[in-house]
Amino acid sequence: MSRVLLEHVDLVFNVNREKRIKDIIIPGSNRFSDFNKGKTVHALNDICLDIKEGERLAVVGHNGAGKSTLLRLISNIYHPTSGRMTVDGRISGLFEFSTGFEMEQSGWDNIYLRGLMLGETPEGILGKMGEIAEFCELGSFLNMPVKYYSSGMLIRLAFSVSTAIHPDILLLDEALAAGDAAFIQKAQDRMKQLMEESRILVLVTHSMDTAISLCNRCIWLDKGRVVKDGDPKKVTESYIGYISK
Amino acid sequence: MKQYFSEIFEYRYVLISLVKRDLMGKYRRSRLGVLWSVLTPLGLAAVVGGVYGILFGTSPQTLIPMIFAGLNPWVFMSGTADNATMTFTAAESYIKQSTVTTYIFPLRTVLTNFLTLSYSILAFFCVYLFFQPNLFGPKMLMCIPGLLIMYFFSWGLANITSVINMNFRDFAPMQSLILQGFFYATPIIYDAQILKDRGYQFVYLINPFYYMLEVVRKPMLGYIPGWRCYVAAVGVAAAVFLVGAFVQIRNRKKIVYLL
Repeated sequence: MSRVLLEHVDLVFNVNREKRIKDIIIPGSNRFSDFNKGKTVHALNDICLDIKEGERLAVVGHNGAGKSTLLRLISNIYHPTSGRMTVDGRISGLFEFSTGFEMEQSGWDNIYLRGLMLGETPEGILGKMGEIAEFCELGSFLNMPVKYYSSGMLIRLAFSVSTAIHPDILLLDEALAAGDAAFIQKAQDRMKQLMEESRILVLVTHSMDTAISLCNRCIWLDKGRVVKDGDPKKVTESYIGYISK
Repeated sequence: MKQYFSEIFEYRYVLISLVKRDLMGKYRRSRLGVLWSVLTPLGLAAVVGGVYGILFGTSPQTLIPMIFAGLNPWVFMSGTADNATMTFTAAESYIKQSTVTTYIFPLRTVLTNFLTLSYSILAFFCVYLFFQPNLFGPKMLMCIPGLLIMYFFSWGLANITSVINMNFRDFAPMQSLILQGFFYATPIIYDAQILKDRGYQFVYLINPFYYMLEVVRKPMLGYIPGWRCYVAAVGVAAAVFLVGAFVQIRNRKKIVYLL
């Protein structure tokens, strides 16, 4: 049984505002910036969330609302400052898709390393290489160093690896924005297929259509709080209503 | 502590793969490739040995192997400490993208540098066979325990410096300076006897790097260091390693925010 349970989770970042020699010599030279007054950012504020098996959760909200932070928290990269988080199931995440590549290495090498990072064994990932190569349709480009790839090609590669390891919980951050129409279709099919194996999907998206067509639950985050939680259609409607006001 | 090792073990494949990449990537597109890791210290030893041979009138035949045997392990230790300051920043995209444990990154630096050291030590033995065939013998195998001690010492050092630099970014240049100081204070390019003769014996006796070097350098040249030297070396290495592991465990969850 896969499950993600967040109970009153808070996440506070300390923002490093470096003290420079100028600040010491000339006190008040920073009075035009109030950035250094608040040294912390309350990225997630008292989040209570229970994601059960079979749920496809869309996360919508403004830039900086805490969406990506939430995904990183679930995937255990960030840790709650307070509150409790329980995650059951194997996680595969895809954030900031253009990073995490070894730019000098070929596509094949990157598939291998990404697979290992996601917890595969060398044999396991080598066995899945063919399937991944087929799904991403990059063909002979896989022999080329990744630095020559377009962002669409990178997203194909990253998405193919992240979904090929059959995770219980798949976390995607804006993942499909750079893919072409054919690949987006293919990726959506794959996500639906993953869902049939009754697993969890958390998808951060700015496309309300994607949220409605792909997900069966939606939360709207604002300033680190859950504003609304429920049916994708209703939540996206009220979110759109709020921004067009 | 147990969890420290088990987390590293869990991501051993990532570690191995990264070390392989580091070693292969270091000399990408260079014609001599990995040979450089042998040629550089050898050339340096030849230059320093030649100059010192003239300055102090020592025979280059004993001086060059001595410097070579001291310089390589030194480059390993100081290079590891230096590279470790950058190890987390260099791996930022991995740490922010995946749950791979941060413990493997300092270890990656140590392993990469250690393998480079092993190449140059093998080269050293080939050269030494010509320089001093009468000192060549099975005693030299005693450099293996010495290298192990040095390995754990450097691992601890890398664990410490990597975390300090995350919290305090002025540390890296400061450390380079301190290491430069140690380089001259430690008998590497000169004999410990010179300090002893002038009554400055304490300078190397309180220097942890000296013991690390002795347990490796002496066997490489065909001598066995005294047991006191081994006790000091093992003690220092164990202490540094434990502190290093402790620092890593304490900061395991903080590193991602400090990047």
